[in-house]
Amino acid sequence: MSKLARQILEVLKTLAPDSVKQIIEKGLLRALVILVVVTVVLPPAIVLLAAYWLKALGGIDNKAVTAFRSAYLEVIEDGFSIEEVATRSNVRLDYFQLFEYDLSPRQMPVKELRLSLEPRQKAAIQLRTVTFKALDATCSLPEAEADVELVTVSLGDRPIRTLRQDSDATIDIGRPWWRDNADQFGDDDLVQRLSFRLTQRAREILTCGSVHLEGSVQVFKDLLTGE
Amino acid sequence: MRTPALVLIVSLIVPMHQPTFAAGWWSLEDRRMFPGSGGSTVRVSVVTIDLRQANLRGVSVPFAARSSVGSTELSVRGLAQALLKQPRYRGKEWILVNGGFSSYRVDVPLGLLVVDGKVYSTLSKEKTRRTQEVSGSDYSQLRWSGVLCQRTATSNWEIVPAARYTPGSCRHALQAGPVPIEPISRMAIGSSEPKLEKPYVRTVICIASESRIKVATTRDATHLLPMAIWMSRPEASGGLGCRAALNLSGDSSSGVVINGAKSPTLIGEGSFPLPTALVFEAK
Repeated sequence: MSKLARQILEVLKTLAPDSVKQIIEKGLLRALVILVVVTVVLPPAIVLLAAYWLKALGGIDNKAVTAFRSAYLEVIEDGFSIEEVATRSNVRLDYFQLFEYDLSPRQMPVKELRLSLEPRQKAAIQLRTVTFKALDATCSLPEAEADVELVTVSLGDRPIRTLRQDSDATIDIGRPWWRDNADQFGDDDLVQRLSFRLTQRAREILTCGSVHLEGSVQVFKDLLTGE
Repeated sequence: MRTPALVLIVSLIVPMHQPTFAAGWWSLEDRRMFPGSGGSTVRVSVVTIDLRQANLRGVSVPFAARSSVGSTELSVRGLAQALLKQPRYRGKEWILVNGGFSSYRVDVPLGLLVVDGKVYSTLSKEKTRRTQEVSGSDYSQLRWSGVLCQRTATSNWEIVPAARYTPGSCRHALQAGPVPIEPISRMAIGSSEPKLEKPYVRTVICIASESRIKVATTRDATHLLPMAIWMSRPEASGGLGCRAALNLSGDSSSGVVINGAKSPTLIGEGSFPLPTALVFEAK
């Protein structure tokens, strides 16, 4: 060992925590290094090497290599449960529905979406777009009152949120919501209506055009128990 | 004696390198260039309009094409063809420029659109993205930060901060963004923009003076920073002398159609559908 290497080792020894110093004093440094390499360095290095070779093999146009690569990938996918991890986030989803409506005071002030939601069933309503829309060239939107509450969202007969323009909201029908509202529904009642209704103020100010509404409903399989 | 000779030589040489077409109220410099990021050169066409002799207005693409919202997919090219069939535009000189951005449908505007006092779409108040480097001024509060506005009171065209827009203040208004140059000739794009954003083919509208508007349409993809630096530079230094500028929709929607004395000329691609456009016409 060169003089410089010895000096660096001395510096490291000085800087090392007490527990490491004790291991060195007992002459167990080599065992410590082996332990660190085996438990910390090798696992990610092996994965990195495997990824490198799989990528390299993917570029070779040879049936035997392709078959070997596929078999190897299958073992890895099974072993690491990659499919399971990928689908886990959706496994609890019962159904998902997109909606898009144009509400106008005269033609369609209310729109109802049919649901099948049991009491205490977990759901989420996401609103991405709530905006005024002029439908013809003669229409001028009430921009001075663009900040008023435009649409009331109700589940069954229960209003759950009122939306203004540019609302980007997620309404979580989770445990807290059911705790506060479960008494509105009988144990055997299916909640079958999600409705969007123009507010009285919106009906007054919207002499032309419509309110465009876009979003989605996610209903999960989870039935939340009461507290 | 030297100066007139120099002017004569320059006036002969410059048109050879920068083809210029003019028709009283507008002129086109078709082969301008500016240095882009990373040492590239960006080719750009510049249309200059004299507002003493021309009118500008924003239009809703579906309404200008006499259709209803949600039913059209017209690009600058398509809209120009539709306008050519209408008596109002047939046989006249006009310039059509791509407008702002689309909302949930390609022909529904994102943010404010006021046409001749009629509000077709209200102001978008979406906040500036966190990744954007902002100047801290009123122009950096909202993502679609500028409104090209013809003041109701004075009829002057300005680029006003969307965050300070007040209903009824503009006879014509179009919201877009970002605002690369704030009044007066202040750079509003952060120095890190070329690292954070992708380059695009762009259309940027610039107010050079009360009576002069310029529309710069690039032929190559560019970041906003080098374009803003070039546009804000005085004309005498090779820039455009912009006091304020607003970035309009870009990429394949970017395009200008000049319906001059001869057949219509298209600058840029102008092939992607768009919700709004700007129309210049002789007074």
